[in-house]
Amino acid sequence: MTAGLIGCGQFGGGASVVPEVSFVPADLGAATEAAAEEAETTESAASAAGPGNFSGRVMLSGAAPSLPMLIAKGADVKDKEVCAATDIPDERLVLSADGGVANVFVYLAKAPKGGTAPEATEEAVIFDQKNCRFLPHALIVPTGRTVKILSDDPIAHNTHTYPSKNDSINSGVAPNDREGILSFVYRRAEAVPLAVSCDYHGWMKAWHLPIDHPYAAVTDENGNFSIPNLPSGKHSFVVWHESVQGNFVQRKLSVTVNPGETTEMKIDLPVASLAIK
Amino acid sequence: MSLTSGPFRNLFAVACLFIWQCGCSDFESSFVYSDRTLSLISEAQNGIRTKEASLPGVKQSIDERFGTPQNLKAWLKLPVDFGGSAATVASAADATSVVLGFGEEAVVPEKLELIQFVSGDCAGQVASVKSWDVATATATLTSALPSVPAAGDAIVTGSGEILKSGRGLYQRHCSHCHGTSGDGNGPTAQYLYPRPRDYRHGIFKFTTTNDQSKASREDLKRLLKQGIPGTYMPSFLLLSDQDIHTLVEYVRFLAMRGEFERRLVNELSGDFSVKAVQGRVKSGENRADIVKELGEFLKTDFPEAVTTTGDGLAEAWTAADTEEAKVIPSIARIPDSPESRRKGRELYLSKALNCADCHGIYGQGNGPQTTIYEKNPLTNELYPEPGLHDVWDNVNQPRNLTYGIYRGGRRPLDLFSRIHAGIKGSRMPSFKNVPHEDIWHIVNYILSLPFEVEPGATGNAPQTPPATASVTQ
Repeated sequence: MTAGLIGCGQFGGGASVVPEVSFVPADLGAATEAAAEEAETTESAASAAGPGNFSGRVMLSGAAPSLPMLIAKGADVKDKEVCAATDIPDERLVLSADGGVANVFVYLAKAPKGGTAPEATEEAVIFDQKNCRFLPHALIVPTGRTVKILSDDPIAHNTHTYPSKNDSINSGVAPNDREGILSFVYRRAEAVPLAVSCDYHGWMKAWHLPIDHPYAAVTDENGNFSIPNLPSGKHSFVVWHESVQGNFVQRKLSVTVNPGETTEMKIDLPVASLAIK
Repeated sequence: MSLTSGPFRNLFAVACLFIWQCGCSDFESSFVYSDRTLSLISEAQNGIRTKEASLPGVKQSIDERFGTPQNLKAWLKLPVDFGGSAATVASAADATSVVLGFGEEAVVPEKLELIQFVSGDCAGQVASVKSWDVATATATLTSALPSVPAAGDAIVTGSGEILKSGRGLYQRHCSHCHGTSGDGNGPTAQYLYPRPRDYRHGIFKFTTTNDQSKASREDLKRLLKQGIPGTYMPSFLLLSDQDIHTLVEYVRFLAMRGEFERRLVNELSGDFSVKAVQGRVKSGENRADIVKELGEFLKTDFPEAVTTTGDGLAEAWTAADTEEAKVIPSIARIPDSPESRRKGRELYLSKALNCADCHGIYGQGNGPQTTIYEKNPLTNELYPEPGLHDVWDNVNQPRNLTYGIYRGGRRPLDLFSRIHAGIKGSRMPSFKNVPHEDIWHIVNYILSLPFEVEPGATGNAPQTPPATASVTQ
């Protein structure tokens, strides 16, 4: 067998074969402007007709699973004097008394035609942590805005992100840092929210959605959301929740917005679609 | 007498044909596509061809820019020294005389032997140069080109010799472990622990650049020369500096190929992986509609994503070699002293830094984090073995600091960089916001650990050797 290999003068996988090298221009296949202009998620009927609004509520249908506290007060966990100083709820599913689902991301997958750019501001987005719990649990971050990471705990934390289009960060957070000396920027919009965790405290988890337009919202504690000033026309929204199987409550929720009006919608999240029991 | 000559020759040839039924010369090594690429539906991998247009998918987009091990492509967008500098045609009097234009910062070569045309009507032509006039940057070609090149056509003065010889050196010295594609999965890899680096994340662990920066050429050069102590990565100190440079460029080329692939797949996997499409079909969508949507995406968004991804890679790898990317302590190393070690130890054990959480209170790499079971953050599935995992899905073994073996180098600056920038791709975070003075104290403490008395040991502590050596008769 070895002899066989020696005999094969043209054994192309070997180190001795000198490959051909051809140069490829830097701008190979560059996006043409005409193609880039087309907006996919929005069919703008009459962009001159003025904006409208989209608001609604995400409701769980079916018997809600009862999740125990993630960390009960006084539980014997790591750094318990801080992390178990108070009850920490299991935020994988946060419900109001009547079944409204909090922390659901509702957003346009792509900036619509005729839309406005996100508000230009130097003000940083604040991402905090207290009692080994990220605050907020679900956060929309405009691309290019500084995110300041704060800590209200006297112990070591680190913030570790798992993006797919941006670069990951993994950096220690100074205890009791109320200024946010640790900061970073998301440069590109992501298609779906990304996980953020603390490696010291494996149970700490949050979700960030970097986005390059203002048409996004996270449902509040009652499951309500409101997205104002949408260009009128037909839009396709993404409805995303961390505990739904496959994460999409709706991959393409079709919404028509009329000028000067508010389109109201109740979005159903069936218990059967949950990944947690 | 060799088997390949004399009377055995025919017999050997028959045997060879018998073993390799399609003939030896057909064997070619190849760059493999990642499992993630292969997890996409075939239309996303291979593109969509319709009557009107041919829309490249992931595989074609990679191959057009990186080629195969036999036919390498040098994508001029990337900051790799392929061997040959980029220039343009300034003017051409006829098909044998070309005036070249070099960028303001580029050096006009003293010698010029061949020109490769990259764009325009002559794209793909390699012309040998009969004479080269440096003063006027005029090249007279040995034979006429098929057509007169136009001003502005991109050319390269060179043949990509660094990429060529880099491929040979890499195949000889590196591919056994790191694989032809740089996927860390060469034939020897399965027998090694720790596993050889898979370059395709574009991440190298041991750098002297900031936490958000890529590895610099200097970092890779140092790793090649010194090897990685405590692993199977040997030192290549015996290679010439030119060979080291060539290998570093080829490894960077493979790393960029892998990261380019990874990032393109990230653009598509959310909607067009086999799993995503199965889920979508299950929730009532029609596969044909999904493929139609993919076609739209490949037509409108994907070319832009390819450009953005290439630009991002070029920017990041270029930035890694700048001064701004370097970890530079703001103060000189605090001299080692029992006092500094004590401070370092306090910081190491403190609630604020809690190094002991992973490295253990005695620095033996056995902190409580090594015993927890965790979920893969991307798939949300429990890993089968305890401990924290890195981006390569390997268990992260926190370094046992009592051995005195430091993978990324044993200079105090190396340890400073490990703490300041973290270990990229691993769970060791960056502590860039810790005061530099404190980092030096920790470095001093860590460097003292191998010489500490074993915890709990009784008996005498090592004694300070006498100040002057004495010879006993």
